[in-house]
Amino acid sequence: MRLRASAVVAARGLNATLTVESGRTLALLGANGSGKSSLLGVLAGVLRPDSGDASLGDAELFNLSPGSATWPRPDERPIGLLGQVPMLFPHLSALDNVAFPARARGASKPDARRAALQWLRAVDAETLSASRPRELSGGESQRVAIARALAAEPEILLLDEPLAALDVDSAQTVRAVLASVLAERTAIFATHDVVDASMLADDIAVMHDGHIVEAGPTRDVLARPQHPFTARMAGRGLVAGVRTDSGIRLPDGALVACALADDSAVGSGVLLTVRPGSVRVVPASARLAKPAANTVTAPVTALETHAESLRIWAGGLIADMNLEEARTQAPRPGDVVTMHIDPVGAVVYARAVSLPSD
Amino acid sequence: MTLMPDVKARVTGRRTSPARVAGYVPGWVLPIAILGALLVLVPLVAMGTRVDWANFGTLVSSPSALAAVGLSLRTSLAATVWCVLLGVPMAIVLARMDFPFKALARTLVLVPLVLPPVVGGLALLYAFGRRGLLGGAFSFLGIDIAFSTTAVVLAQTFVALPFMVLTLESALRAQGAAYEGVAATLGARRGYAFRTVTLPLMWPALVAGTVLCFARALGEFGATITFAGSLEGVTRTVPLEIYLQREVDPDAAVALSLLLIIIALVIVGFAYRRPSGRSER
Amino acid sequence: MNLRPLSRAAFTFVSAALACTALSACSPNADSTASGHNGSETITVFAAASLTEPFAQIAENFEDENPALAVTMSFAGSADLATQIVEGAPADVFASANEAQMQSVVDAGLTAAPPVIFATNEPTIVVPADNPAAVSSFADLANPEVATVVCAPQVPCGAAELAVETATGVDVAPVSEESSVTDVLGKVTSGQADAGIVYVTDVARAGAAVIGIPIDGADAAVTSYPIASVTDADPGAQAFVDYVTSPAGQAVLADAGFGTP
Repeated sequence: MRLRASAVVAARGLNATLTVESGRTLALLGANGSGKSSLLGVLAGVLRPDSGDASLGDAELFNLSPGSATWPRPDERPIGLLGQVPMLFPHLSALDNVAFPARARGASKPDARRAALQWLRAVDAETLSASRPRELSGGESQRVAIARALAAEPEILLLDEPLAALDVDSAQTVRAVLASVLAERTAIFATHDVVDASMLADDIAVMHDGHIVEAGPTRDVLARPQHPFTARMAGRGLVAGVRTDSGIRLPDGALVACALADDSAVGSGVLLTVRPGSVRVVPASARLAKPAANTVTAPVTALETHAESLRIWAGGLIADMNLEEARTQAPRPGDVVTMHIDPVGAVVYARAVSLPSD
Repeated sequence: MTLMPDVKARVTGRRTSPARVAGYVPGWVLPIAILGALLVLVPLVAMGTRVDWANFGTLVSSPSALAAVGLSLRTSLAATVWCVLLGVPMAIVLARMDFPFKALARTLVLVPLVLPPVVGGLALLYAFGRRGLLGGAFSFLGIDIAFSTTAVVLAQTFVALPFMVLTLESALRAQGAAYEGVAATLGARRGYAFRTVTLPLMWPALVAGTVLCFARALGEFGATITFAGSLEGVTRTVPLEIYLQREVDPDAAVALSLLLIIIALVIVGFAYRRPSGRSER
Repeated sequence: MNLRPLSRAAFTFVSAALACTALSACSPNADSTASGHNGSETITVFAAASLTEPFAQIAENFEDENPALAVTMSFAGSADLATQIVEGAPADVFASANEAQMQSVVDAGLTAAPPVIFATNEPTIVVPADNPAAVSSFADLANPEVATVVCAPQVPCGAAELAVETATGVDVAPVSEESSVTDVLGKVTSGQADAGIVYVTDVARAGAAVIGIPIDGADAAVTSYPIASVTDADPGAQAFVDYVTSPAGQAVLADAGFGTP
């Protein structure tokens, strides 16, 4: 069932509109505090927005607009919510936790338990059915919580960072469970992890400062980001420029000749994205006085030391230096560096919206 | 996982055993705790030395003593039931709802704790007595609680109720409403969530509050003697019987006091047999 | 090294505890009325609660006549006072509301001189000022419609009431048997009870909220108040006893409704 929703929560700076197509999983990708949880809370009915409305298929989910105040309680919505922390009821066994939604709808205990066992099987947690929540590991708890959320048979399943509290191994197991659970299901998956988003979601909506800054099929959004924030999350460099015959002219006048991902008109605003592997920092000794082709000169904005490399952010690009280079050049934040873009690894495409200053 | 035990307990819902947290207790705590325990224990032991053990059985099984014990158990039980029926909703309203003058309301609920019981008895008299605020309405309805067992239960409920409200409210506030929120997103109506989630989770606090209420009702003296009077089998509970016996037969008074303590200990011990009651297994 | 925070915490605790103790020591017992003649000899008088008003007056008059002596009063139930004296409380004079409690002090060998009866008291009916049950005689109290409150037979005022019942042949069915006269009076003053049995002096003390109705045959239950100085008391103690039994002391007691022996 197609979900369409918009909501404003002034106190949290949330002002967002989104659509989830029937049977697809939408990743709500954003940093902590970007408003993902608030938006899910509004949909689930646990956070009342200042205004907004939502519909599920043809039915109204809520409507808080001038002249209308439809705001059903959480239990009256066909929506499930799975949080970062499993929140299993501590006084119930895993099986009875999963049986809870059916019991709440009036099913008999044996029926509810029979169904619960099926749901536990679906998340590969059958053997845990007799366990108490405090006997379960984080990953086991989260699998039981997934089964419980599914047992409510919601039309839309909301998942709020369900992997964030788990260690690497548990996260992997739960991710696999989610991958099978989310297939064919209409769901929204809030995450700050672009890997989770790319593995689990059909579509991505990128959230930044309470707004959805871009949305589209996962592959498109991550491969051709429109927003610097998206590029950063995807680990890609992103610079804006003007379309030329063979590529892009950057603001400092440098030309990059590279693959054109669409047929945007010459002279129109375009974006260039490139992976760190295709960007190289030019040694100071080799630097030219004026902008050369395929180069960008900009001050260093951030540095990150990795095990075998030094990652540099400058002018919207990301480049990796090996440790030998890092030692001889020793760049610091604010130092102006020149970076060479390998045109083979770069893509230029139309700029859909004007970029806000980041 | 390198979480502190209590943090981890919060995340996973596991309980921490005292053995794992004893290491955080500062050294000066234990001696002072022992000092405090002595303050309570020494008078109890001293009383034990004054008990006429040879005649203990006779003293506590006299008809008037038996009548007082029976009455005390009946009235305290009834008062405890009222405390549960009234105190649970009060605690929930205070812990979970917002309304004007809430801080004032919470303070007023606790007034019987600080009020000297005799004054509490006077207040009840002014409210429910034959010439009290509601006395006229009561006598119009043909209800006369003056000098009745009902008056004893009323006095005991009045003094015991704050213990229930206080215990439950702090437990409910510490617990938060997150589990109820989860229950709602799983389709549970509010009533169902209350029965199946809120109630089981606050069970330990409910048991503690119930025990406190019963103990307070059992020991209640001042409000009862002021408000309900003192008649064997009707309004003379064990504390009133002790007070009366003290005039003529201190041995009987001491023996009865000891009986009261034993009753209280048995009940407290029973209620706290397992610290977490139902939620275990 | 490790000791410093510990000893500081202990110091804080101990000093806080001492401060608490010192504060509460300012009022050793709330119901004693002390007359502070500096440097004078102090007589401590333990007196039955029913003697509160007349004895406060007598003490004042006594001090006026004996500037070298100061009187400290401690009022409580006679049984409490007797117990305290037997347990070693520093009393110089004991004025009891009944002979049994005085006898327990005598039995303990703690009286310096034989007790003297200095006042009498007798039971009376007390009703709220508007007398809702229209009680006019002791026989009216046999009516179960009249909510009557008495003292329990175990305490002196209850024993006195029983004596009246025996003497008059009236069978009272009380709705409550209180432990003290004050509790009986309280039930009547508040209108909770229709009638009560108290002492004549209690009615005089209670004021306009209640009225007393004399009992024919109350003389069957006259209570005697003995007074005695306690062993090892100061010489002033006997002077106080003598003053209570003197005409001046008797006049104050008579004003309060007490009978003379």
